[in-house]
Amino acid sequence: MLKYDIVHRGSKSAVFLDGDMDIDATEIMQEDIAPKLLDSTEIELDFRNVSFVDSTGIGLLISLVKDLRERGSKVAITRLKPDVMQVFCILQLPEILGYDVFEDSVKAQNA
Amino acid sequence: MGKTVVSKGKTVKEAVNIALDLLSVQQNDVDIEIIKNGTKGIFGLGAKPAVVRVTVKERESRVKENPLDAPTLESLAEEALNAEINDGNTNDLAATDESAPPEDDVSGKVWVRDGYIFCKDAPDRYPMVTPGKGMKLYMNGVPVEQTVVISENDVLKVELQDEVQEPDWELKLSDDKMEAILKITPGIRIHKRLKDKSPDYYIQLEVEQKKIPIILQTRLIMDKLKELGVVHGINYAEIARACTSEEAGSFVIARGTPPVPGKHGYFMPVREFDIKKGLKERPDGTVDYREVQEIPSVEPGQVIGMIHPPVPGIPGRTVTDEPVFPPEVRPLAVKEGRGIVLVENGTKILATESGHPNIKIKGQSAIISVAPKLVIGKDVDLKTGNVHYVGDVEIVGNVQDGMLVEAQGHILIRQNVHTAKVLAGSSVIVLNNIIASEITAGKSTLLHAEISRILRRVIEQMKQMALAIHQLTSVSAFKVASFTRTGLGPLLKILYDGKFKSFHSLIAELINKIKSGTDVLEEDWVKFNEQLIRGFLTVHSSHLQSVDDLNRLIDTAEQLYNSIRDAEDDDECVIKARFAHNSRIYSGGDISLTGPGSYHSKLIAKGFIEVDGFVRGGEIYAVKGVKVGEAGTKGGISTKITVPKEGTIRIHKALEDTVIQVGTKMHKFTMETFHVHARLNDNGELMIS
Repeated sequence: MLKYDIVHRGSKSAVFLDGDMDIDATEIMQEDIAPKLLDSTEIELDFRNVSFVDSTGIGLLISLVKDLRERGSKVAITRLKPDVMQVFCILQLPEILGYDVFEDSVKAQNA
Repeated sequence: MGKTVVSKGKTVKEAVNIALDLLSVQQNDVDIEIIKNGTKGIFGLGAKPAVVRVTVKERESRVKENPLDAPTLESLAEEALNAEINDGNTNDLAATDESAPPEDDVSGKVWVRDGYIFCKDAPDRYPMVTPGKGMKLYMNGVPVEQTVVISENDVLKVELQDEVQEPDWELKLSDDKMEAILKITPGIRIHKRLKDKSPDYYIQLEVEQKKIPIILQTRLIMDKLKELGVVHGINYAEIARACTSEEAGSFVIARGTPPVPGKHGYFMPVREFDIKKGLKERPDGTVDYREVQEIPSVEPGQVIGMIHPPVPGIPGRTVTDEPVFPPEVRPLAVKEGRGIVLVENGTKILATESGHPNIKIKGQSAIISVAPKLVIGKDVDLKTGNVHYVGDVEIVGNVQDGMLVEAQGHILIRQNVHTAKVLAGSSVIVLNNIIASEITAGKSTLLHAEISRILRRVIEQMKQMALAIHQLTSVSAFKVASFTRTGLGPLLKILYDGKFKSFHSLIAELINKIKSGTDVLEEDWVKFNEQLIRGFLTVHSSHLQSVDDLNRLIDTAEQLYNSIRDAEDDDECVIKARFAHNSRIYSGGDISLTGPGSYHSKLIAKGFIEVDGFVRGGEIYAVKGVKVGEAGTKGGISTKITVPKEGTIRIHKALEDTVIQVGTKMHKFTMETFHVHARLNDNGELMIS
C-alpha cells in the first residue's frame, strides 16, 4: 500500500511517496494526494522509497502531473530508483510529461 | 730529408718501381707521393703517364705502410673473403687500407667498394664516415654511432643482418569439399650489403637491400594434399604458380567435378493457353494486347499438352574423391481437374470438355482442368439477369445498366459495358468501351490492396508494442502481476501517449476499411476486426490480457496479411478495352486501353498500364509503370499519373497542368511537353527527359 507524507513550505510542496505506485494506489493518488496539491505552485514528488510500479500507477502519475501542469504548477519527479527510471524511459515518460519534470533524476543518473 | 726522385711510368706502380731502381732502395725505405695518376687511354692513345715523387726516408723515421702495393691489396681481399666464409654472410668485414686506387687523388678520402670500406690517409685531411641506418659499425671493436675520423690503421667492421621472412601458407578444403584452396604469403630474403661510395672526404654509409623471393617447396603442399586426402582434380600447374608467386593470394589447387543437375518432370502445353503468356512482350516489359480477341479454348478430344518425365543428373566428385549427388529430380504430379483425362501412361493430357484450359503449376504439382465456358449470345440485361459463373464467360452483346457479371475465370465482352459491374478472377477483355462502370480483374481486389497497405503498418507497430512490453517485464521494478487484474488496457493508454501516438488512428482506419468490405470479405476478417476493436479501440476494457494475447493477435494479422498479399496468379491477368469513360478499373495485373483512351476514369494496376490514346482527367496508378499517348486536358479537370518509386512514366505528349508522381516526388507540367520519361535516379531525385 502506498503511503505518503506532504511537507508544505509556502507555495512549495514536497510529497514523499513510500510503497508501490500501482493499481492499489488509485484512491490515495486521486482522492488524497491530488487535492492537497492544488494550492502549490512548485511540487516535488520524491520517489526514493518507491520500488515498484505498474501501468495503472504510471497512468495515475501521468494524469496527476498533467493536471498540475495545466494549472500552471511546476512539477519535478526526483530521486527515482534506477530500475523505476528504466521503466519510465521505456514508456517514454520524459517525452510525454516533459524532460524538465525528470531533470533531477537525469542529473542524478548521469552523475 | 733523403734523396728524392721524380719518376714517370705507365702506371703509378711502374713509376715507383723505376724510382726504387734508381735509388736502389726497398719500398719500405721510401715515402711516395703521387703527383699524377696515370690514365690508360684508349688502345694506348691519349694515355698519360703516372708521376710520383719518391724520397728516401731518414734512418730514424717510422716505418710506414706504403699505399698502392698490390700484394697488400690481394692479401686483404683474401682475408676479407675468409672472414666472410667464417662468419657466414651476416658480417662484412672491412678494414681501412689501400685498394686499387680510383683515378683521382684519394688522399684523405674514404670510399666503399664491394662491401668494404677503404681510406687513404693524408697529412692535411682526415677521412670521416657516419654509420647509416640499419647497420652496426665497429671501429677497432668499439661500436660507433656518430661520425668518426678514420685512418688506415683502424679496423672497421660493419654488421649487417639479412632479414628472412619464411613463406606462410595454409591449405584448406571448402565446406563442400569441392575445392582445395591454398592461401599463401610468399617468403622473402632481404639481402643487405654496403652500398658502393666513390671516394670523398666524408661519406655516409648506406645499406643496399636486395629482395630475393624464397620459393615454397611444392613437396610440402603435395604432402599436405595427401594428408587431407585430396586425390581428385589436382591442378599441378596452379600449385607451381602458387609456390612461385611473389604476391600473397589464394589459389584453388584442386577442384572437384560438380554434379550435372538433372531436370524435373514438367508439363509442355501444345500452345499457350494463358492470355498474357500467349502474347509478345516488348523490350520495355509491356505486352501488346491488340491481338487479344478470344479466350484460348479447346474442344473435347483435343490434346492440351505433354507431361515429360524427369531426367536424372550425373553425380560429381569431391577433391577427396567422394561422390556428389545432383539434386533429386521428381516427376510432375498432375492432379486431374474437371474436363481433362490423362492418356498414354499419363504422358498426354486430353480435354474432355470444351472451354479454357486452366493450368496451375506450383513446384512439382500441377492442377489442370478445363474451365467450362458460358456463352451468352446477346446482351446481359434485366431479361438475362446478373451472371455468376465458376468458369469463363463470353458475352456476345453488351452488359447493360445496373447489371453484374461475375466469373471465377476470364470474361470476354464483345460489345460495351454500360453502368455495370464486372468482376473476374482472371482477365477481362472488352472489345469495345467501358462506360461509367466498375471492372475488377484478379482475385485480390482494390479493397485487399488498401487493407494490406494499412495492415502492414499495423503489424509493424503491434510487433514494436510487444517488444516494448517485453522490455518492461524484464525490469524488476515493473509489476507484471497487475496485468492479471487490469489487462493491457492501462499500458496501451500510456503507449498511445508516448511511442505509439499514431497507432490509435491507424487502427481506426483499418477497422473502418474492414467494416466497409464486410459483405465481400471472409468470416475471418470480421472476427479479426472484432478483436481489433475490443483490443485497441476501447482501451478501458481492452480484451488483451497479456503479451501472449497480443502475440496471438499479431499471428492472426500476419496470416490474414499473407492471404491477401499472396495473390500470385494475379500478375497473369489483364484488363483490355478500347475506351474507358467515367469508370473505375482495377487489375491485379495489367490494364491496356487500345482505342481512343480514357476519360475521367480511375485506373489502378499492380502491373503496367498502357493507354495508346489519351488520358483526359482522372487518376492512373500502376505499380510497374505507365505508358500513355497523350495526357491532360486543355484546362479543366486535373489528370494525375502515379507510380511507386521503382516505376517509370512515359508520356508521348503531356499537356499543361498534367501531374505526374514517382514515389513521393511530384511534378506538374507548366507547358506542353513531348517524349516524357520520368523516373527516380539513384539519389531519389525525379528525372524527366
